[in-house]
Amino acid sequence: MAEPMKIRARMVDGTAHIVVLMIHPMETGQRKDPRSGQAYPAHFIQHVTATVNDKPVLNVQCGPAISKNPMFGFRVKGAKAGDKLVVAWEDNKGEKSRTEATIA
Amino acid sequence: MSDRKYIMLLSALMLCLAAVSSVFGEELYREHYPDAKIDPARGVEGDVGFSDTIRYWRDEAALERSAGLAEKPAEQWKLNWKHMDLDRVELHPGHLAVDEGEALVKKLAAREAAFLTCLGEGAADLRGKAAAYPKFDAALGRIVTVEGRIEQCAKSVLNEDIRQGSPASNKISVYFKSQSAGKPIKVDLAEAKVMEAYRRGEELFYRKTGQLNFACASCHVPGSIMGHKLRGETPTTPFGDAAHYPTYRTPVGALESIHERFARCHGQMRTQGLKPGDPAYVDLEVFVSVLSNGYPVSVPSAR
Repeated sequence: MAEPMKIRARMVDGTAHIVVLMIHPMETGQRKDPRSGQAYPAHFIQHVTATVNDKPVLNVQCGPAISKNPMFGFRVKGAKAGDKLVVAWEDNKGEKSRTEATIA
Repeated sequence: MSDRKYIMLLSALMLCLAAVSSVFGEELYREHYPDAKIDPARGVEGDVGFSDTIRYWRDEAALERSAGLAEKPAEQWKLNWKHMDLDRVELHPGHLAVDEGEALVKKLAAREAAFLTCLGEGAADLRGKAAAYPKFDAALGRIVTVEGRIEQCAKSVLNEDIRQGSPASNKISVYFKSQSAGKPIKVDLAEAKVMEAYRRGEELFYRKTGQLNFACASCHVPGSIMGHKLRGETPTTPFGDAAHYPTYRTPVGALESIHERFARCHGQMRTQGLKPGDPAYVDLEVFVSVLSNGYPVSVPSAR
């Protein structure tokens, strides 16, 4: 079960400043367990999307170079306070997470 | 062969002599940084006339006025990094740690409800409790810090080791302290034992140590390196600095308690750091906490 993301979204000078903190191990597949010598299986977010009022505003394809518990920050022009923001990710194991927030 | 024996005998003799002279001889030669004459009764307001940067970070209004300093590398230090506390910066993993700490406390309290009342000293409500730490515990006969309390409660109630400086201890401590966020720090100076610890901590603050012969004061009093560049960093005032620990350290990528921070400083001063929870570090924590008296607890924070 993927844990929900933490989202801050607020209007600054007519632009929505959005910050998303995701909880994910972001395992690259390169790291080895020192005791068994086995590599930890790769487990990382591959696809991040964001929509404002069901209109796509962000579409990211990312890989194992992103850090553990990654933070994404982006700005959306033309958004208004009270708009519904939905952020979703999907990782290489097919796990999905989706969190809704309101732009303040 | 006999040559070697002779050398070994001689070196053993010299070791003995060294040991004897360290017992009976005079004390270790120590240098001290000149006393900056800090008045403990003034708390965080002691920074007025010390570094005078408190006017940039005393409260929300001051931080709002001086927000522009964050953009100027030469003047950023004047904010004392207070613009990184609480909700003033966007999300960082310190916020996650509060949730993880809460879950951990709930899990341990579900096993043994006394764990929570031990942390809260009789009350299950932890709100506002952390602002009075470090304090003297008469029953234990020693000064306890927040991490020390967690360790002691885990040992006495759950018979479990939550060592100070361990990730679990830091998470619980972040949660415990975040329950007092915004409450002014109030270390009880009227308690004689706290004052004794303060004086010991003060002595440690000025005592030079390590290969570089640095004291805390070498970087953190006016007229020292404070406000000037030191290996890419600019040391700031010690006032108000205990308020934001344990903090999420961005260069480390993990939570760090104040004792771990002391040990990291010791490494940078080229001397051996002590273990978190060492009595010397407790004294030093009392000293810096007294210098934060009156400043609100600012957990979670990032540095």
